[in-house]
Amino acid sequence: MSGPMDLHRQANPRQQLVRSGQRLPTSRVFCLAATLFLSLAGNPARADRSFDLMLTPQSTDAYSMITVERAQTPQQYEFGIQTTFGWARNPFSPTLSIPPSGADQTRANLIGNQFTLDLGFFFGLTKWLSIAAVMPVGANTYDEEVLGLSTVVSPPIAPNRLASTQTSGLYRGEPRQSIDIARSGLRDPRLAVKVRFFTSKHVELGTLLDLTLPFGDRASFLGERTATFRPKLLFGIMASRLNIALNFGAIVRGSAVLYDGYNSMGIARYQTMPELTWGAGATVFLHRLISLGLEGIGHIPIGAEPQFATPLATLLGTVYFRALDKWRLYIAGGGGLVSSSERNAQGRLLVGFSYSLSPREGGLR
Amino acid sequence: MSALRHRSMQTVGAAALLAASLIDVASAWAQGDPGGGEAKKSPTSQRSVTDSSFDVLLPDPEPPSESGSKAGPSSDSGGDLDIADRVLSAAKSVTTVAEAPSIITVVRADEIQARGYRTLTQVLETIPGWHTTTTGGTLFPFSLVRGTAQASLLLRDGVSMFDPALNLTQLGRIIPLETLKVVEVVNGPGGVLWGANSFLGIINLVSKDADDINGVEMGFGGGHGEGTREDFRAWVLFGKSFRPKRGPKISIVQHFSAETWLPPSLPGLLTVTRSAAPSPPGPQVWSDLSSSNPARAWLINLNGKLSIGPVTLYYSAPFGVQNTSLSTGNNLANGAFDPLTGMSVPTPQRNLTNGFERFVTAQYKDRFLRDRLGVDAKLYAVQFRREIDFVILPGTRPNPPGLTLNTPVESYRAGFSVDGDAALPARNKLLFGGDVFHEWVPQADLHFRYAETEGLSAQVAAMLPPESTLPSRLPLNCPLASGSTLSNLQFVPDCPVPFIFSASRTTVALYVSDQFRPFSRLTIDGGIRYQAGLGQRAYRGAPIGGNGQLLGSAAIVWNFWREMHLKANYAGGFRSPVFNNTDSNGAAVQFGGNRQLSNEDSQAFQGEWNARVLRNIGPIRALQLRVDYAYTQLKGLIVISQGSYSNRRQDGRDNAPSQRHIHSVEAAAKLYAGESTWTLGYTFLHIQTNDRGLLRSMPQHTLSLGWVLPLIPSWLDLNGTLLLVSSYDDPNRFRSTTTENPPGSGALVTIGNFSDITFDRLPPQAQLNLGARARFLRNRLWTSVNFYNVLNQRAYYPDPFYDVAPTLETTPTPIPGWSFFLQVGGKPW
Repeated sequence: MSGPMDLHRQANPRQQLVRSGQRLPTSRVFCLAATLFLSLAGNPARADRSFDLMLTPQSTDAYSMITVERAQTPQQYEFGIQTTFGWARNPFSPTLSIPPSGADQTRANLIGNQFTLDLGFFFGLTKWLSIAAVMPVGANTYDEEVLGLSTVVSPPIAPNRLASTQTSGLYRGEPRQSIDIARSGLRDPRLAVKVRFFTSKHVELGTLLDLTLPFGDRASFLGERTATFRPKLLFGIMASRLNIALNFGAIVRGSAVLYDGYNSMGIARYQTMPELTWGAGATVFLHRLISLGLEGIGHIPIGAEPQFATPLATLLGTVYFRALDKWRLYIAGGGGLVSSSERNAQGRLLVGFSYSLSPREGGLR
Repeated sequence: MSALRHRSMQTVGAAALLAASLIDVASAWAQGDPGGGEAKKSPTSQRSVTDSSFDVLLPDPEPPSESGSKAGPSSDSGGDLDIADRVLSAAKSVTTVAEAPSIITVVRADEIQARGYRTLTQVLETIPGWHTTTTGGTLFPFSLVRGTAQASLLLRDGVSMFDPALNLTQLGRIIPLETLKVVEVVNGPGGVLWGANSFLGIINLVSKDADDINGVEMGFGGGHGEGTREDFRAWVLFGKSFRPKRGPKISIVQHFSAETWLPPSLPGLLTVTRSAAPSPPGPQVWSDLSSSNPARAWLINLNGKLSIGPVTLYYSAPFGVQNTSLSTGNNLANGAFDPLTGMSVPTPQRNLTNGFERFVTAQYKDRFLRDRLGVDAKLYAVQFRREIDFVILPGTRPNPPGLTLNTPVESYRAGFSVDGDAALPARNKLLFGGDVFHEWVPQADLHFRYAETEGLSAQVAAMLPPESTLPSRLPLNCPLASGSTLSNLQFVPDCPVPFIFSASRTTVALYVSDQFRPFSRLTIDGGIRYQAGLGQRAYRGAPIGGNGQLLGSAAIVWNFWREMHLKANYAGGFRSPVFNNTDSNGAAVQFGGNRQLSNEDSQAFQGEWNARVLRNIGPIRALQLRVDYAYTQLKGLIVISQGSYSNRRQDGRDNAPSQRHIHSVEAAAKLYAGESTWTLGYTFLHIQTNDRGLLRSMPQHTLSLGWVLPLIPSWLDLNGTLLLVSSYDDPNRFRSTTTENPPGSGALVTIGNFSDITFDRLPPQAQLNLGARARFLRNRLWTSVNFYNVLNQRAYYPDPFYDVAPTLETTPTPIPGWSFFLQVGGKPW
């Protein structure tokens, strides 16, 4: 894994896609242009690990569903928090060469479990405009066999009885380091502005402008390589006991590519590109205290290599408890629906609470 | 010995030993009436806390949380917020964070308790501009201010705790937080008021008075986790004032605490050999995988004070054994190696730096001339105990006994200081004072233990070859015993060699500082200090006569709109070389002393904007904001050059002094919403050196988020701290080569050569602490549980010395893993 070719690949993975015989997408120029300003944040990384695998981030305020946003905003000067603990089973399963020789390849559950904690804050500037921030952290458990080692000690060889240490797994081809991949760390913080354009008794309409900053640990699958911009259009339909919310949006981001360290030709094992997103959710008030719901979230990659362009979808069943106007507790469980996707988590669980100091009349509904 | 061998072990003790809690006559002065009593009182929400109608003491916290709970969401007086903003003594007069002529952060006792802090370092790392790190493995923990190590001055009730021999400030468990009323932290030099060693920051600890306690407070608890194992602690604090019918008021405060814990067991490789200072860098050789096995640590702390009228006697007497997990070069705290089992012996290993400040202070404080003149005089004596006893090399196959060393370094300071303040005509307020102190270190000898076989069975010990217990196998300068010949070498047992030679210094200082308020919203502050170091280790190269240091400061504070202030400040400071820099023995596993060292200088140009906005809007009671920018220049920093200490740049290109240029932005926000409190701190650091370029081993961005959220008001609250640190580099050795040692044995060792450098890219950190506290019986009984490093973030400390060789820090030093601590406490009486 050392040589001019590898260095070139490390310096420019998209070019290397061409060198390795794979077709460069041609119809995605507009997407690249749109993400240029984000991509300028840094040169394309070496064997990237910069994928945030949390596909069901918590919503930005306590009036939304768990992951699907509603157009409803906090009232003026309303301050509140929302915190969600998340768990995902096998959220990242790329095909990789298996250490130590790399001779065999398999689709491995590289990350066995991902635990997340999102600490969110929201504040109503006016009755139709609010801001929010989310500080997310996460912890991963890895398949150590696939992950490899940063230093592999080899037996010395005659005649000089010396040997060089090696690397294995994902550490191959990386600049030499004496530390391992972190098991936990910061994910990308989010800043959001929500605007409610229109509301009536049964319909609401708004938009959410969501920005993530690339402060997460992108060496450990906890953050994106660049800042991302995630605008959404929010629609809502309200009946007496039923709320329906629809989101349509996009994720504008720079590309990230995970290469196989055992192949000097630079085989891409996973790639993220800009995506279109959708979300749909419905909640039913069963009782003053309890609501049930269903939420679906989807991602449609744009401009990715065909093998990585599989749309993603996740379905969650939700339960809300509202014992007090100021408090809302919730739990959601479900999983991914597209097993062929590398980011299809087999199971997801979200548990959290929302709290507002001065909620709208009727509480956090 | 990295901290000892390394640079910046500076300055002789602080000249600054001046008053705590001067009662401010400036209340009336602030209102344009130096006479005091006639000052027109403004509404509480508007007035400054320098108003004399505010009691100088904080409200009686009996029970401590009651005062906080009284201020409900409907409170519009803002009085409790003003108190939270008050600076008692860091500026040598009572003022506010906004109005003080320097950048000050205040953390009160109720916040310390509510946030679940257990050590002072936990408090400091949430303050903008401050970080926590260790050096010498985990032997020497300290705080960094603006990315600079050993640059802060610790004051306990106004008395300097600067260690004149080694500059190893003790900020960990040794400071019992329950005794503190306020922690006041100054960012930037504070030389005019506090003298030497207030180089880049000041940590002023103000202890509780008897009236703050008024009874007995106590608590006990236990915890466990990877970060701290089997941790148990109990404490009791008594405070009471008595007012005899005749005679002065008598107050007594007495504190006692005891704690024991097991330091973390950290995995790592056993070091076979490495080059010890002051040798040129050589290869480091590692062998078997193991885990550190430090012995149990314990700590007993006695603190108290006795006041009779204007006279107060303070004292502190800590004792203990502060074992830790890693020693210099991140060697594991392990004992002998058992060749039969192929493992380290299970006997816990002593590996410690016992750092204790034991002091007695007599203070006289009073006011005269109808409060126009205040005097605060202190007579004090401090013993700085620094017992160093640690592993140089753990036991390994080629060296089964391993190698450890011990030296009991003790230094002392005794002195007298006077501080005064006077209200002068024409809206002037004068601070003045001076101090004289003598500090000294007796010679301390180093002892090597090179033949330890504790934990090895008699059978194994007998199997060891004779040379494995002789010092001649190790690169030590071991003195020969009488009767030794070339053919029959005889060594003095334990190889005693001087570690630090005896040295002393006498310091005298005078200062004066005037605050002029031409308009009610504008304050102009200027000061000057002369400090001379005399005697055996007199200052060298100082501007006045070679041994006289001159410092100046100036500030303008403008209350430009409502509760918004702008501040511009220039401050200077200096560190004089510590005795370990001037009088260390370069032949004793440390770098050589240099008696030609001159003082290190600091100066900072600082600007600050602070504001209190959103007063009583909706559920929000107030939002306090602060942003400051500082350009700080450090000159003549003491560094390691050619195996000894030097003020010259490390790369040796020319004879210019070493320099650092620091650009920093520090921002803080505190939101009071209902009964909840939210804090945010941010630090940006950009440090350029003239010998190593950009200091890449410091995080450029640090963000701290803290909260106390009442789940059930006055009963149950949740608290937490999230500390986010951006990535940074750590120059380390990379294990590049494998071989057998001994040849043919099949035992593999790995080697990191001098040229095997890796800049480890340390990932961004997210250290999350979570806790809950419940209060019962009108706050007379409480219980809390706190979880630290919940994510078990395996992060690493910054390398404050940017050891690019790297010789002293060859591998990353991990932060403690997760742990929890459960406490029960109360105020039964």
